This record gives sequence, C-alpha cells and structure tokens, in this order.
Amino acid sequence: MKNLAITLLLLIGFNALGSSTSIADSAASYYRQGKYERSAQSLEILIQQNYVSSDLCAALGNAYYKQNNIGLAILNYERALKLNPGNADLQDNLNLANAKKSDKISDEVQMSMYTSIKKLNASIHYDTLAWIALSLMAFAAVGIIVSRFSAKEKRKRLVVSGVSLAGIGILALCFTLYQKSILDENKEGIVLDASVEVHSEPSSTSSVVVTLHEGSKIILNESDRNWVKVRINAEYSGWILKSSAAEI
Amino acid sequence: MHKLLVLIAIFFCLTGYAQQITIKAESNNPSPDVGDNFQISYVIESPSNLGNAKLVPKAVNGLRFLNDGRSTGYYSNWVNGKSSVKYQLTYTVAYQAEKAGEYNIAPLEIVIEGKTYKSNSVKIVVSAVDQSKIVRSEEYYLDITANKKSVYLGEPLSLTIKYYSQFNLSGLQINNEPEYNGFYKKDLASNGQSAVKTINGKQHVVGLYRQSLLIPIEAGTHHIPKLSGTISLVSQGFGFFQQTEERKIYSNTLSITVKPLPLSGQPTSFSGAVGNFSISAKVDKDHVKANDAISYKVIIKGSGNIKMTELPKIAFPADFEVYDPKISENISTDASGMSGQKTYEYILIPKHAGESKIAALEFSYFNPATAQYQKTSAPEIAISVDKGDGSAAGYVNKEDLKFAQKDIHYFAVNKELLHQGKTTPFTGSTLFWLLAILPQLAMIAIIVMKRERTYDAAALISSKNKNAAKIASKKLKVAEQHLQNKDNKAFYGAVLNALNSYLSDKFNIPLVNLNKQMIAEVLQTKGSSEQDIKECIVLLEKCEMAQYAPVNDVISDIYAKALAIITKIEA
Repeated sequence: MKNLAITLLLLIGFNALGSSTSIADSAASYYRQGKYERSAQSLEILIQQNYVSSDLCAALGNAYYKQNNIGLAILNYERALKLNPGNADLQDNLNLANAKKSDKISDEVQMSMYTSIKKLNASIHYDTLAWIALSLMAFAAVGIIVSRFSAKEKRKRLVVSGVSLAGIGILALCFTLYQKSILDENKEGIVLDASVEVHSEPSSTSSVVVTLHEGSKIILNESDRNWVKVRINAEYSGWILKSSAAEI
Repeated sequence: MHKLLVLIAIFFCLTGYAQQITIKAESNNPSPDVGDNFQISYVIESPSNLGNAKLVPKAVNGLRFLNDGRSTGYYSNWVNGKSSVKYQLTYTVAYQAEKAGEYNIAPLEIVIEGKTYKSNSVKIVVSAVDQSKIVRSEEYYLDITANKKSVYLGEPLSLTIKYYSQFNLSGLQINNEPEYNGFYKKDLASNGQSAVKTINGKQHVVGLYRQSLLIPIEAGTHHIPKLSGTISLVSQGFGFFQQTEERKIYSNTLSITVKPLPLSGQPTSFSGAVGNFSISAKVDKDHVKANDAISYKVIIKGSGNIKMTELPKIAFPADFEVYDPKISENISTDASGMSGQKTYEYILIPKHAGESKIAALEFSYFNPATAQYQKTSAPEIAISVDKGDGSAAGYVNKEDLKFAQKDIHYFAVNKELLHQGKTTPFTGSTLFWLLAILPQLAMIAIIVMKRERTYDAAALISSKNKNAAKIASKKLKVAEQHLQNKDNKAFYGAVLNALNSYLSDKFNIPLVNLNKQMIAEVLQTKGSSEQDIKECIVLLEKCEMAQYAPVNDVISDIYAKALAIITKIEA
C-alpha cells in the first residue's frame, strides 16, 4: 500500500517521461526481487498510460508467467509478437506458456479465408501493400501527366504503361482494403478465465457448445451487448461474455 | 426288465434317503433397528455328515454381511423300534442392518449328490432410527471430544471417544464408527483402563474407547455422526451368578470445521507443510578431491504434518553426481500432533575441480498458531574441490553438458523505445485516402489545364493570322509617313519591321527564329511561286542593307513591292 502510494505520488509529481522511466525501473527491480505481482501492476500502469512497446508486453507476459497466470502471459506474449514479429526469444516464451495451458486445440484457428489472409499479412503487412499500391497509382499519374507534354510516338507508350500501372495499383488497393476488413472482423483473442462455457446464443440460459480453458486462442467476431461471438475452429462457434477473453 | 426294476428300487431308496434332509432358517431378531447386528441360523439335519458341504451366504442389498460360521453335532433316536442317527449342521450368518426396509432373505441352497435342497426364506424388517430422537441415556453414554473444533487444513487434532456408565459393564461394541473421510487418521490408544469418577454426585465408570489423531486433508465442515453401540451391563446380582444385560448406548455428535489455507501470501516454495518447522543442511566435508563422495544432509525438524512434508528442490552444482537420498524419519505421534525430524541424506560426487555452491534452501510452511506463512532456510554451502589424484590416469570421462529445464527469457523494458500512443493502421487513414486521390486529381487538373492552354494558343495564332495583313498595312502606313518626311533609314526599318512581323504572324514563326531560308521554305510550302519568293527575299535583303548603308533605289518602288508581296501571300 505504501509502495502504491509512492507510485501514485511519482505519477502525479513527475512529467510523463520521467514517471514512465521510473515505473519501468521499479517494475524491473520488483521482477528481480521475485515480486512478480508488483512488477505486473507497475507495467499495467504503463500500458494504461498508453505506452506501447514489444519489450513492455514481453516483460508483462513474464511477470504473469512467473505468477502462473497463463492466460494473461499468453495474451501479452502474443501482443509483443504482434509488435515484433518473428522474435525468437518471444516465440520461445510463448511456447513455454502454451505448453502449460490445458486445452489442446490447435494453435492456429483454421478458417480457409481468414487463415490465408493472415499468412499473407505475416509476410506482407497490409500497410506495406497499401504503400506499394499508392506508389503504383502515383507513378501512373505522373506517367500520364508526362505523356501530355511529350512527342506523339512517346505519348502513346507512356499512356499505355500509365493506364496499366494504374489498373494494377487500383486492384492492389482494393485487395489491401479487403485484407484489412477481414482482419478487422476476425480479431484473435485469448481466453483469460480459468474456464469459460461457450454458449450457442448470447444468453447464459442457452445450451453450452464447449467449455474452454485459460490461454486458448479464439477468433472474436461481432458482439451483442456484453456478449461476443467467438470462433473456435472452422466448424464451431458460440458466444461468451466479453470479460472472459481479451483481444491480442 | 429286471434291470429297470432295480433302477426303480434304487430311485425310491434315494428319494426316501433324500427326504430325510431338512433345512430350517430362523433369525434371532426379525425386527432390528438400523445399525443392529442380527443372525440367521440355518439348521440342516441329515442322515449323513454334511460338515463339509458348500454353503454360500445370501447377499442382501441393505444388509451388511459380517461373518458366518458352522457347527456340527449328531444324535440318535428311536422311532418305532428303529434307531436312526441324525447329523445336525448349524450354519450361522451374521448381518448388520444398514438401511431401513423389509428384506426377504432368499432360501439357502445346498447341493447333495446332484440334488438341491432349500431352506425356508426369512423375513427381516429393519426399522429406521431417528438419530435426533434418540435420547442419550444419563446412566450410560459415549462421549466424543476433540481438542480443537476449528483447524486449518493439515493441522492435527485429537479425537477421543470415552464411555461413561453408572453400572459395571463387561463389554462395549460400537457398530457405526465413521470412516473419517477427509482425514488422515492414526489411532493413538484404545480400550484403556477404566476408572471411577463422580459426576453430578453419582459414581460413573469412565473408560477410553479410542483416541485418534486426525490430520485434515480436505477443507470444509466434517460431521462426526452419533455413534451407536451395544453395551453389556452387569446387573448387581448376588454372589457368583452375575447376569449381563445388553443395552444400546449412544454418543453425542460433533462437527469439525477445516479451514482452507489462505491463498494470499502463499510463498512459491510452499508445498503443504502445516505446523512449525526448521530446516538445516550440512555436509560432512567441504574440501574434497574430485570424485570423492560428500554426504549432504538436510534435516526438517519440527511439529505438524511432518510426514507429509516435501523437501524443496535443491539446486546442486551441475557437475556434481547426485544419488537419490536416503530418507530417515524419527517422528513421534501424540495427542498434540506429530513431531520429530525427517533426514534426507544425499551422496554427492563432484566430478571436476573448482569452487562450487549448494544453493541456500528455503522451506516455507503455514503456522496455524499465527495463521501465517513462515519461512525457514538453510544457508548456502560452499564446497571447494581439488583435482583428483588421477587414479584413473590418462582417461577423462567425457560428459554431456547438463542443461537445466528451459525457462522463459528475460525481457527488460527498453526505455528509449517506450513511446506513448497506439499506432493506428495506415490503410484506411485520412493520409491513405489523400495519397490515393490527390495524385489522380493532380493528373486530371494538369491534363485539363494543358488542354486549355493549347486551345488559347491556337486561338491566338488564328487571330494573328487573320490580323497579319491589317497589322502589316498599319506598319506600312508608318513607313509611308517616313517616306513623306524623307527619312529613308526609318522608312526601310519600318518596311522591314512590317514584313517581318507579317511573316511571323502569318506563318506562326517566332520573330527570333525568322530567317530567309525559313521564309523561303515556308513560302514554298504555302505554294508561292519561285519569283515571288525571290522578290520577297531580295526586298528583305535590301531593307536590311539600307539600315547600314544608303541604297540607290526608288523608294516608292520598295513600298509598292512590299504591298504587292503581302497582297500576293494574302491571296
């Protein structure tokens, strides 16, 4: 309690940067002392203050892992990996945490369109694709403008290549928007409650499809009041309370 | 035929013989209460000894089979001057009534020489006993007491069952002693010496039935039900013949609350020890040569559920060979719980020279007295290992590296990379749409503007072409004025100017680019005759020359020629 009061004082007394570094320091020293709960609390304050970094999520994941809070550990490792894809250390930690969860559903939720889009997104992020598409379209525009000022023979070639570039660019742009909409509709989430009953309808009286356990990866779709639709695999989906899972 | 008669005779003999076997079943108590014991006796009479016959007691759901036994005897009697010997086998089956209800115990079957004989069936009515309505007799009763009624999980308590009686008694049997589910039970004493005690002014015989140590292994409220039993009272008869009388005896009930261990403040090293402990560790020598054995002892000492304690994981140096420990216990159990010590002896063999450490051991336990978790620790032990004497000279045993089980990688928050604000995706942002639309708008705008400018230029040219003659005639009029003023030089200049600007406007050639060759070419393409072209060129040359030197020509001719050329071109 006293420590919390000091932390709060620090929060009030220092400017944003000063307090954030001191909180990060105290989180690290708590972690070294084995006070994982305190460490996690400090890091959560940084997250609440809108700080983002892969390290921050990874350190928070470690603090939860040490407390044996596997759901939150997996959630934060996944968040860290999202910010820093392909980091081998992070992947190791995630694997260790995944080994501790009880549900043996496959890591990747298999859904034809979503899965292929997700794979594509891992190699070319939709923002990268957007820049490529926009550059193509800008090149095309420049080409067509230049053609206006050039001699007749050159003009025709410039117009043809400009129009085809523009075509490719527009196609790529449409695909980028499609890719983003698919990823926006299907957000990956992690089950945080020790066990969650997945209902067939957004009400607690409806039949139970399956019971999921802490740490399972699911796809979050649309929501209805305080319920959210989840997809477990290509075959099964259902509704759970929003509070029992969190988006990666 | 003869054979058949013999067979019939044998058959009748056998049936006659067989009919002499009788089985009678009887119960000593046809209407017992729940918890009572009763017996069914089967009396089997037969002309031959059936002492070894196979008899199977009947299993009845709701009656608990206790035991069975048999006894044999024989007697002879005289009937109508014939003597016959009868063997009697008494088979007794004891049951305990478990559930209230009506039971029909099926006939007992006995198979003799291929033929089955059956007894009668016995009807037993078991009536329920309403535990709450049983009034414990003031004169004789059982008393259950516990030294603690609210304990933490793992905290030992002792349970004592005593009997109290105002009469002398010769026997006590408890029929429904519970199984103490949720406890680890160890009996400490039973059937001790009885003593005489005065309670409320009356003398009682008080004796210990049983004392047990209970260690709770499940949290919750545990009820110990009312015990019921039978007591054999010795009536105060005269002298040698004493009569005993069986009576029912009941106890009080007891509930024991087992509190779960608090989750808050539970140390990670906690493994279920409840009580008060201390841990110590020692080695027999801390300076050895490689491959010499060291004895490492860890002792857990204290009181509580010491039998259930587990040693914390010991971090031995990786290149020590460690053998499974020898565990010895010296634990005494009494009404206050278990106490003593548990010793783990490890044999360690350091394989390589160097300074090694056996890490400090931390043992945590829950102390029910303070209701808090406490820690005890054994300090780190340093061991220095010298090089071995090389008795296995020239040969080095190569070993695989021993890796600990994989743990998570440490991550520190990099403060330089810490920044506020979530990155919003670029796709779909305002900048995205601006970059998508602006180049296209720019392209369209430029194309439109370019078209407008060329259109403007075209209009200018056509108007210039139309007005070329007008402008030329105006300029020639200036030349005419110069002619009247006799200013020859200015006249030639004006004519040259008029012609040049006419040709420039007419054929859309910038003035700077205008030269004679080009004029000749343009005029040719416009279909002017060779002579006209030549005249035009000559005229222009004359006018140019007149700018620098006086020309001997008829000035009015020049004027007329210039006019003629313009008129021809216009035509």
